[in-house]
Amino acid sequence: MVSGPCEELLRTGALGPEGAAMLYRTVAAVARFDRYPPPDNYAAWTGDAVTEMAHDFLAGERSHERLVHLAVLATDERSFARLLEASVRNYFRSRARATDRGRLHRRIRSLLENDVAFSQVATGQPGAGWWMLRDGPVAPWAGRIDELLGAASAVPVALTRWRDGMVAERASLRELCQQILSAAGGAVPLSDVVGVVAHRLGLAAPPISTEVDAPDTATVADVESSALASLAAAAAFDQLTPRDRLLLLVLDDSVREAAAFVGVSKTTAADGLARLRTKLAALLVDVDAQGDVLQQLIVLSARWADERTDNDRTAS
Amino acid sequence: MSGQITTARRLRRDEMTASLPPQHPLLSQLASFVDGALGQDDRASVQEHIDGCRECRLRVQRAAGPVAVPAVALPTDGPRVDADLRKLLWLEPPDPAPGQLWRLRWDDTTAVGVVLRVEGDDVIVTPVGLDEWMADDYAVVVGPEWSPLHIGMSVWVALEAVVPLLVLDVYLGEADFLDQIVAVRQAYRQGRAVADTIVVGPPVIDETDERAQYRRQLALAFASLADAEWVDVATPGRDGRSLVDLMRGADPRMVAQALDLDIRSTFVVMSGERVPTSQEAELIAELLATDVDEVLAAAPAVPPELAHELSHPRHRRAIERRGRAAGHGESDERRQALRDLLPVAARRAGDPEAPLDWRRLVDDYLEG
Repeated sequence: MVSGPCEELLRTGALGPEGAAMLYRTVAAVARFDRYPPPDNYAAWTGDAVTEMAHDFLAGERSHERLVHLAVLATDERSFARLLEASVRNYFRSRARATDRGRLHRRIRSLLENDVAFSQVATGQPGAGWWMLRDGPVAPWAGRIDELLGAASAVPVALTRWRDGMVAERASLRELCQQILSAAGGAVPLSDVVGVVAHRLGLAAPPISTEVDAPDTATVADVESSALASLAAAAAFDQLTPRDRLLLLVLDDSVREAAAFVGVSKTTAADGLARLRTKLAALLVDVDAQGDVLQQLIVLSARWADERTDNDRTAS
Repeated sequence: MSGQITTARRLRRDEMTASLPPQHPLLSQLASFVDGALGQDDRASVQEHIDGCRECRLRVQRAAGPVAVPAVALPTDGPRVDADLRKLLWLEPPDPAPGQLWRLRWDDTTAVGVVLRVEGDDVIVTPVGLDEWMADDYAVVVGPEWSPLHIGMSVWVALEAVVPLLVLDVYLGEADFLDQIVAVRQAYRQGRAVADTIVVGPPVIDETDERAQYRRQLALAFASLADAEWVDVATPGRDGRSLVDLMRGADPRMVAQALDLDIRSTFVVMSGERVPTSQEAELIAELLATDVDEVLAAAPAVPPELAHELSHPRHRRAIERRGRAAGHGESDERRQALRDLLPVAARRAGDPEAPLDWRRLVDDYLEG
């Protein structure tokens, strides 16, 4: 007689009946709280949609890795439940990012095909079909991908509104492609160009079971939007003063609590809160997913405050 | 030895400025909470968390409607965890040695690492991530064909750490890439790029790069493991005074309050039956208005061989089993074992004709 899903897995190598029940419950809960859209062909999260997602989790790409993570890292039934939830959440993210990478692939191909700055290696030549700068070297690139990633990392990315989310501006994508091809010093396959741009935009595959502060997808339709929302949050964060960042952590609290938290008078706190609200409204005026950006701003501010406290402790 | 640990720790402070993620309720618990399906105690506990957690409040406020939970069997043709790997999870672990892959565990922290060296009760390890695509430019990418777990791994050379022996938990196989770790470590220390013959990941772009968080979490996990202790075996030399002498006249109730112990456990400490932890020694020193070194010097000596044996991973399961049966944690159980074994060790250690077999002593105790 086994005591739970973890023991089932360790004894048989696969999820058993208790593991199945926990997996279904977890998939349904992640769909509900992270508000992901249901799989293709489903209009809503029905029991069948949950079943399909759970079965893909167990049989799709990296499913063996997911089971090994659970077997190796779970030390009891409690930690198993947490690991399973983290794995399911990251699996949802991974699927959403794959969809966004497909969309990005189409955008980049269209950009390269329609922009005179780029050209394709002719049929019959080495690297036929690969992309290069119009007047650049034609030799097929044979370097390391991290060199291209390094080049892309130096390119600032501007955001623009698209449907109900945000995407990288066409000019940013163009600049990214130019820098990647320039760093390559030759022709590069489209899939590698897309892979590097996707990495720059935070669309690379997430880890399997490590919890990362990936943005909540509640109000944005896709993960590209939310990955870009974190860029918007980082940009807005730079515009906030140290006092703004502290006040942001108590934005919903009373003036008295805010004053005590920041260590200023109530009048100063009230004034600061009012100015912060005005500043946030201005900073986020062109942002659609304001809730997500604001939530990430709060996370950044909390982290900044923790670091400051640690530094203070170290200094003292 | 703890001094060695402190100076040898190579985890950089800037990797540790963030805190570990908070323990939110599981989303399935939150779903039951929202649907009113939790029992009274669980409901109160989740409600208390939500009241103090902005993130969970937002989650609950923004949750979609109920989602049906199916009750169908899973397909039986999916992948399975290798029997060989599962067997390792049950086997008695070997003596730690360089090149071994281990699961490390202490409290709620679990991680994987490769042993580089063993120095007494200190184990120098390189953290391992089980997601090879998360590697940065100083993390070796190990493909499934080279991995004892048969899945890809990233070996985070720049996060090398010194952990105590007692956090080693499960032996996971042999790692055949120690030479690559050494080469990358040299490159990292000299601030140069890694040789082309070794596969590492691309550099982290900035703080928005998910790998920066991943790396930070690994660093935090190993910092937490490095701090694990159950007894301070670094107790300095004796100066003739015992803890009983030192604490004579102290009010046991005040001691109990200061150490947050019940009165029975307090007497155990005051009578010198058990060695105070470093934290307890600091509190006692504060209470007695004396120096912490004086408290440590007065504590009963712990034979390092006994502390080592009780920290060895081969005894961990038996210690935990006994601890569970007695209703306390593994550290308490180790301290109990130490308390019980100290007099035996003291009686027999002085006999040059029959050198003490520490492993057997602990084995016999745990089996008894």
